[in-house]
Amino acid sequence: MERLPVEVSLKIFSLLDHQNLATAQLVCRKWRILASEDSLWSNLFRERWGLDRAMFFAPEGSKLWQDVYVVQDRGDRVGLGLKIIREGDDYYLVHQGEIQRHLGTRRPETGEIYHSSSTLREEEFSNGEEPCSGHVSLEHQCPVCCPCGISNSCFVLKVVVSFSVFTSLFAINLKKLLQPNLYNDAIESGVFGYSPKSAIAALSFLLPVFRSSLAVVKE
Amino acid sequence: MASKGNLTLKSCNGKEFIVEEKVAVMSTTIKNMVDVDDSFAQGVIPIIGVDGKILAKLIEYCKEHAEADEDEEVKSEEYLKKFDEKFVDELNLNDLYDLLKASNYLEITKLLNLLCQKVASMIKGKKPEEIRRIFNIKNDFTPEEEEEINRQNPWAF
Repeated sequence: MERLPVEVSLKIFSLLDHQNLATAQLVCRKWRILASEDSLWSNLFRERWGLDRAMFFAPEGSKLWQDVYVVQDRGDRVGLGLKIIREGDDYYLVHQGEIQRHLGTRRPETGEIYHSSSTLREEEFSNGEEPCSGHVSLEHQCPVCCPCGISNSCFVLKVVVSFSVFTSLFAINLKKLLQPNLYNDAIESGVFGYSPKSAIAALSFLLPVFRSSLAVVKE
Repeated sequence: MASKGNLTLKSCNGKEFIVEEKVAVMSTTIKNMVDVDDSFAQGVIPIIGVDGKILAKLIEYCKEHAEADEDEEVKSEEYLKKFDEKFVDELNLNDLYDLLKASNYLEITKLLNLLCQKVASMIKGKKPEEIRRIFNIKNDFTPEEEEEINRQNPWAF
């Protein structure tokens, strides 16, 4: 491909759809530059959503057509409302297809969800509940319980607790994270399919269960 | 010397091919040369940067298509489609690249489109590693860069 004139390479890439074009960007540096060509993505956008929308959503400033395409495509895939989605091992808060926040990364080998430091800083926990404590103490328990041959139950616990802490954290901090109108949006559309209030309720139910299981493990 | 209605094409390594004008003018570049300067039609047309092997391939393709354009009954659309498929399937990667370059330079639009389709079909639905293997490309990303680019690709999963 290096031997081909640029216009021929672009002609070839113009025959690819967005997924294949994104894959082509992963092949090597040269392909990355070619397959990132703005005109390719602008054509793909126009083909898929038509000229009117292309004019309306045309990228501004430093944004590229590929950025605009990705947002529009995500909006089509997950809907326009406020959502939490997973892409690969990363969780995101999205609104109208655009990523508002990176919420955390899942470690594929354990299924655990790690909050990204940029999202959940210490100063954001103003309610004094120390929502992270369950998570932290679990980390300490791990080396103890795994050698006892109960790593499986530990794993399930970790998943359950990580998930509930994650959900509750999100619910508690939602108001601060978001503009008021987005918050109302979230209440209406629900987060994870239920409202933040029920998320807190779920957590308060799960925490005692978890504590008692830990006690069992210790014994 | 070519007889009337024929043109002589000379490859960059000195091989000469006598072809009918209708075959040669499938190339817009050659057509323009002949139209602008009559002496080309009499003498030898040098095809710069295209060797004998590739030029023979080009002529083979143009001949089939020029004949089909002239007489649809002898060479039907279906026949041409089969010919095109066989034509591109027999090419190795080097020939494919050389033909792409030559058909671009000589502006043989039909062939250029066909070859681009072929290359695109070699990319479609493949993973980056497979594409590198097919096109003999070295991965020049660092592992960190690769991970970062992968993360940015919302369709990788």
